[in-house]
Amino acid sequence: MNENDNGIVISSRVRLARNFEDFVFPSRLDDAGSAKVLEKVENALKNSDEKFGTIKLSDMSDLQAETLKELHMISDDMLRGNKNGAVVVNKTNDICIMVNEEDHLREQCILRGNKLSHAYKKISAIDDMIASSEKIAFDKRLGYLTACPTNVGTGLRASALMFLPGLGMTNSLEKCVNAASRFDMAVRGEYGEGSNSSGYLYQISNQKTLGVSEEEIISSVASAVEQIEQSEILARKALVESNEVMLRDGIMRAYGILTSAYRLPFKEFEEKYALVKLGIYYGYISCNDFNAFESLLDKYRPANMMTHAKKIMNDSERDIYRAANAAAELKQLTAKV
Amino acid sequence: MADQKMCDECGIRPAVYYETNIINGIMTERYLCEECKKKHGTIKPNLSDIFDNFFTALTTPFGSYKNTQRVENKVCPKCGCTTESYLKTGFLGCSECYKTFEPLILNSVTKIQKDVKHTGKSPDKTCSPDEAKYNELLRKRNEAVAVEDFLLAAKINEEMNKLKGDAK
Repeated sequence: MNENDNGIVISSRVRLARNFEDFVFPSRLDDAGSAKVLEKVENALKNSDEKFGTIKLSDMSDLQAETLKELHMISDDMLRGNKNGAVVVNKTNDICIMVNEEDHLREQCILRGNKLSHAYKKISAIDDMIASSEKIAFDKRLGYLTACPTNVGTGLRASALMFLPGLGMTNSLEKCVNAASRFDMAVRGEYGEGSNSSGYLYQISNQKTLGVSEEEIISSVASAVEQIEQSEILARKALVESNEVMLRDGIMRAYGILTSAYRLPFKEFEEKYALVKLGIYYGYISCNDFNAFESLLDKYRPANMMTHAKKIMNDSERDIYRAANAAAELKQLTAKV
Repeated sequence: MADQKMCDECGIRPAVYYETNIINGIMTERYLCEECKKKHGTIKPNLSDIFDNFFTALTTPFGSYKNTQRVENKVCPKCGCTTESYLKTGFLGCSECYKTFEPLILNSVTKIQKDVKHTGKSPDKTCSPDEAKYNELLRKRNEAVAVEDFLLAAKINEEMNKLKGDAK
């Protein structure tokens, strides 16, 4: 694994909050109004080069909804929202627009790796397309008007999902959170405020949305991400220098469990998976397809795993299924060095 | 020992934990000792408490927390949203609410965003001359930073701030 593909920045996400001028915001919108909002979004995207599909919340099974939630494609707020809540997605699933969530539109682009700027360009093009066919709520002074005034201005939230075991294990994350907050950045757990991160996954995002241009936001988050990435690399160096024997032993034990256990609850899978990923970074474990390895974490999340397996399982069945299948895949993708 | 931080909760024992919380984009921080971390460390207020406290704080002028002023209860003519419901939930009902509750919103926005002038893109995609100039300066500043010419970057930054100030 080289430094450009060190797996530290897992994904980049850019989200734009938008509302249609002619409709009241979703919390006050009736069913007919929210159905109309959805129709307008679909019409606006009809002439796009990309094909989009709509999944309405009311047509989704619980499993589908949970699967999309695990992939950050829909939010908790959306699941609690009105019956015309929907997600409009492209074929590659990297652009997804939540409709009738807190705002009429939450347009987002999620790309693997460190690609904030690219993600912004993609979603901004979609945003322009929608704005050219519908009047967007906008004020010259305050910018894009949103249901919660904390998002006014650009309505842009840029975030990177980062894998930070080095900073986590050396107890250096607090320093990181401190430094980031001085630059109006927030560091949160993977699924937002209060979510735990047993897999050392953290989201870094901007807090300020007004008085800064979109380009400034993207470049400041990208620069914070780069700083944190460099700190993570240093922390990993310090970690191995402080006690390599213990570290390597911990990693190889985790690898042993992932490839041999009979049952694996997701939390344990996530913890051991993080150590194995670190083992690949240090070269203790070889990996013949790092992208495939990276996709395992999402694949074995409870809802995603059942969707892949095409069957509903109880907790115990899931844990046994995860252990057997993850082990088989890991044995194909990786080997002890 | 120089500057030993004491626990923010009890004030008697030395702090060994540092905790941050981000609620609606506002970060709060506190230092806790071992004992208080156990007692108070992970307890979080429920959502309505957060909003109540948060918006009360935002609508209260700085330095006069205990001197709460009564806010006039207005009703948005377009959606029926009231000052009271906005302060309770933190959510507005429509774009017209921004006019109805303007002073209240500007007060909150200034405190949260430390700015009240949008400088980014707009739905009609047309840039004002000032915005175009600002974007140009931004590009130049990034180039200066890339070649580590921080003196030039600082100079450009001053120009950018001036441009922002003029626009207000």
